[in-house]
Amino acid sequence: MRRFLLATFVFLASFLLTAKSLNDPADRLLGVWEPSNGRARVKIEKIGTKYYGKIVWLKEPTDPETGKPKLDKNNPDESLRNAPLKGYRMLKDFTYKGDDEWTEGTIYDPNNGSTYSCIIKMKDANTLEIRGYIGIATFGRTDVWKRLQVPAKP
Amino acid sequence: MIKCVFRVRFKKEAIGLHTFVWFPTTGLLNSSCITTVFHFSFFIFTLLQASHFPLTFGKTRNMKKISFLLFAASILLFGACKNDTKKITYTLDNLQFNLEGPLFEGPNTAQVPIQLDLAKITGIPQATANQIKSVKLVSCEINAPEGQNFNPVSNVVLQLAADKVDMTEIALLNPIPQSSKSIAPQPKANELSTFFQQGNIIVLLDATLLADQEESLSYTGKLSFELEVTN
Amino acid sequence: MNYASRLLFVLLLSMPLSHAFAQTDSTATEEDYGEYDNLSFAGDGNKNYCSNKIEGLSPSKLISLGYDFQGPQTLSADSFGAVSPYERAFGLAHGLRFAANVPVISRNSIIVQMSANYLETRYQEKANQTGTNGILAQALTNNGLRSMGLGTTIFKPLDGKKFLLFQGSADLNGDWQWGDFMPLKYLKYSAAAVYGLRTSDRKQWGIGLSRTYRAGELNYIPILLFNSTNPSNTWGTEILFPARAHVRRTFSPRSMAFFGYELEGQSYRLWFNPSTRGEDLEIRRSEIRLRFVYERSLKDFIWMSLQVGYRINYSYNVDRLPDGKDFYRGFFGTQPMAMENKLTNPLYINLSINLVSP
Repeated sequence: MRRFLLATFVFLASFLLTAKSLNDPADRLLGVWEPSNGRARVKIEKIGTKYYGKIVWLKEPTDPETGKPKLDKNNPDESLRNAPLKGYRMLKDFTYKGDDEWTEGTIYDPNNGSTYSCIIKMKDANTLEIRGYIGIATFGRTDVWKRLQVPAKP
Repeated sequence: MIKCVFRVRFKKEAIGLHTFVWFPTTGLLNSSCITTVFHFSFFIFTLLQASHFPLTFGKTRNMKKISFLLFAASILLFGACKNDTKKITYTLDNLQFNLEGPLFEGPNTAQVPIQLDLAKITGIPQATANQIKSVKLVSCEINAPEGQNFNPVSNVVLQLAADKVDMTEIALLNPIPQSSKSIAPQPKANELSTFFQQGNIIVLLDATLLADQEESLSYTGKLSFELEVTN
Repeated sequence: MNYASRLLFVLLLSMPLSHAFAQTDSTATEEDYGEYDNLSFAGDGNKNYCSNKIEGLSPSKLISLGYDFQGPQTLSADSFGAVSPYERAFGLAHGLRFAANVPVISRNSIIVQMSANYLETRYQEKANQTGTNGILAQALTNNGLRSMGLGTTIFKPLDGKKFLLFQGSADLNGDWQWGDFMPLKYLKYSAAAVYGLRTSDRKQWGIGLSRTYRAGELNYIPILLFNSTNPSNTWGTEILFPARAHVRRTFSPRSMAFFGYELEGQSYRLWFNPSTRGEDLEIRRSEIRLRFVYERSLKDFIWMSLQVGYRINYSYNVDRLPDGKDFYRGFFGTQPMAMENKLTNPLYINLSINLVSP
């Protein structure tokens, strides 16, 4: 009987551990997302235990002025102003707080080179509410991002 | 004659000063700190002995002033020594930055997780996080493998990430000179002690590619940090 | 082998299987990030709503705290009752200005902001002036003018291009004092509605109608919105005609200059003095501020704004409100004014510190 209980425990533990590694609720944030203006696509990935989002696609990748790829020309760090905007890590340092919320992160607005505090709330599996704010969440603005379907590797 | 008298008097003052600083602090400080205080005081004293100071008028008041200055300087040094820190250079060598293809035009990221052993780094057995007072990146070097160079890459940014600290840019090189086989991104003056206090850090290399490419890229990095730790 | 042992054997066998399934599952969901151009939405796509801003527009101010200085000016007051026309010279007129615009709802489908504002003008009569003095000069010198109000702004995008904009506010304007407020029945209500088009990321325009006191007295005025930025983001316009119109020169997203004007006005009730309270008099104050403005970020979202300009008096007349109720004269009405006054035009400076919006 003791062996039976032990086996059951081992089985359940193994099952739960497997399930957890596959279905960590925090990892639901991973994927490619599009802001409401449809002008960019952002891939959210995990580095360590935190989540970061990089611009992977721009609707208008070239600067109409120069005819060259858009640069991060408003970056407060002057040495990075000639770096391409595509690939810029605009979401940084998000940790999963629970209740479908990722907090303590920042969002960068390439239009003005400003970085805002940010909260990400997952409304459903394919919808994020991203609120950038200054100081307190009241002084902020929410945008809705939608998940893009990434095809499976052939 | 007068000059001589003052010299003698001044010497007394200086000796008094040494005594004043030396005795109460002997038991409190380790010898290196006390030695610094002592030597500093003695250095000033020697300067004065060489008669560079205008001691020819208002002599007594001058003596008092100088004694006070010496005392204040020593106390300042004493304050600086109080926590008795030491400087250590720590090098993270042979960091393997693997950028796995397909790679895209723009920044691509390679990450290297590092587990820091504080005891090994500081040379202090059972070193704790709060003994790390300051960490600065002092030099950085990234090398391309034999027969390759950095031509596919226009610029690189090195960043540190850790669980409880915001991702921080630590060095960058923009643009990378043509045909470079080895590059030395410019370290930023950021204070990085909070990363070292975490224990586990991730070194990220964001390499901006000039064009899409299928093949992976691999570079080797070496980062040297200067740490200030308390004993 | 007993039952329990057999079960254990089966369970242990099943363990690697469960991992194997997991592995298969994981491999099946491995995603190909090789191509970002032709991705489709995983669920419903985003409904496309146009933004309330365009590229390059100066940042809107969440909180603004400033001080306004007007140079010396002379009031030429009309006769009133037994008092003959008179002139009164004032020194520096100055006052605090505060405004807050707090987003209550701020989503891409709707933005609702609540606002609060306060501004004051304190007048100082020059010394040693003799001759007649009347209620107007006395009210200005003794009490100054204050305006305090609450308002709301609603931006409702209809789709990726069209939008509606509503503004409404209630203001208490007069020579009231702190601790001795005018009753709320004297609130003045203003409103505006605009239907607009955001024709590109660099241009938006709209037309609408406003009920406004900017010309001093109640008016219904058509309005035109036109914001634009050139492709290199160096020049632009920020126009809400007739309230304000500016040409913008952008040095960087954190530093810009403007040249243009603002039409500023309200109807201020002369209420504080009990002896004239019953007369229902209101100063129809309106001024055109022709100005140069420089705004820059001091640190992150803290911006300073410096205005230097010429304050042109448009109206400083006084109306007597029949039965205490406001009335509409418009540009062509013939209702007589209680006093037709003149005010000389000084230079002015306004310095403010602002918290700007994302």
